Amino acid sequence: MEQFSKLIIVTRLRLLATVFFFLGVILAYRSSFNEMDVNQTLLPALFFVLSFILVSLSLYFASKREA
Amino acid sequence: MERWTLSTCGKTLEGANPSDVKKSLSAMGLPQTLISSIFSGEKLVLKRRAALSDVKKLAASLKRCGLQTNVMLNLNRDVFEQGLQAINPDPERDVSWPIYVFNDRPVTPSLIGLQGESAISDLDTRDSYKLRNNSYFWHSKFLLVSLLIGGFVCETYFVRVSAELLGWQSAATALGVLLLAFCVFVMPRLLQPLSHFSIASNTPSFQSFSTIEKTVLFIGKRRFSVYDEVGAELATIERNASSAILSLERELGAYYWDKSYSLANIGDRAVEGIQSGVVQDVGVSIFSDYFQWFEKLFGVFRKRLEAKDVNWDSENGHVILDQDNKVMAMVYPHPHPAIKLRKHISNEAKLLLFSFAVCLLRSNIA
Repeated sequence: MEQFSKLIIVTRLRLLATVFFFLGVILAYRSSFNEMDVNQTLLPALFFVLSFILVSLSLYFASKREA
Repeated sequence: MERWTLSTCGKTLEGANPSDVKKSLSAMGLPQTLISSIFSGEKLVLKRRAALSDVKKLAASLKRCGLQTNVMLNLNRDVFEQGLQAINPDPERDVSWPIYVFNDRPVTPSLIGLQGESAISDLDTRDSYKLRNNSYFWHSKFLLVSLLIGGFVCETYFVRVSAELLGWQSAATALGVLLLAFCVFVMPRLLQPLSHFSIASNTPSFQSFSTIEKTVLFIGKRRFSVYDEVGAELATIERNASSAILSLERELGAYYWDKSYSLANIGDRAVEGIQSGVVQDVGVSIFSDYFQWFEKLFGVFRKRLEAKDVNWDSENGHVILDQDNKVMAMVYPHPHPAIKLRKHISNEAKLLLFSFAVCLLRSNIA
């Protein structure tokens, strides 16, 4: 069924977003012990952005389901 | 005397072959024209305004053949009007609301025929529904605690990056605090998958339903769609901070739940199932979705009403008493049509009382 398949897509995207968010948190915590280095410091930000994109995609799919 | 109607939509029981059912029906002595009209797909009344025993007998024999039937209670306006007897049980008590006597033997409750007949399922043939949670959630407490810790780490990280790399000072702190609030209050809702419940009876012949959550970003409000087995949308449940409304496709506000009234006993197990699974966990805030104790703690301040006395919310309600002056039910025409029945009464009495209350409600709304 269409509703259920979209529900599964939304669920998977959100689970993946959660994993990326907490990976970003771990990296941000690790980077706090080091000296300020642009490459290392911006890596967690990349994970946060990825997580944000995935959440936005899940919201897009969820709103598409309602239409 | 109560009158009952037996009808069918031509559906066969689970596992029964339609051609075998047709053979069994013709073996029962039913004419061929009747059998073909039974399977035409439209609702067909097989017995109209008959006694319950006759209807039950015919329904049982049709069930043995493999045909699904629906037993309905017919009630008529004349009996209803005779059945309502306004009284004032205690002259000293100042009553400003109507009181009715419910007497299930000599007076039969009836339904005002707005749509002709009302389909109230026979309680004996009713199956119990079970609500199953198919959601694969992150553990809520775990998610909330980790997001709190994660929020602090994110805040520190954001402040450090924006202050050292971009040279922001106080703006970095303010944005960091906003980020922390976002992680704690919004992220739990965004990272949690949408919920999916299925409601099914314990017998395979009965219908099953699914509820799927729709996205509502507003905290404290949730919306669910109810689907049948083939995926057609039947109804929508809108859940607010302390109440919920189920709207059918064409009918608005078919069922209304309010936590302060707990209208569980309105005679439909499927609706009760939805209530226990979806409405009872209504969030007073985002926290009560995750922490049970939060609701217990702050639920103390919520107004709760119990049908212990006739004085129970006498402003808007109608009270139905039995012969011993005991409250049997409360009926609320406003703001939303609602009925509260006394618990621990027999199924037969519950059905009669429910019908009585419905007719009272309809007469108030009409």
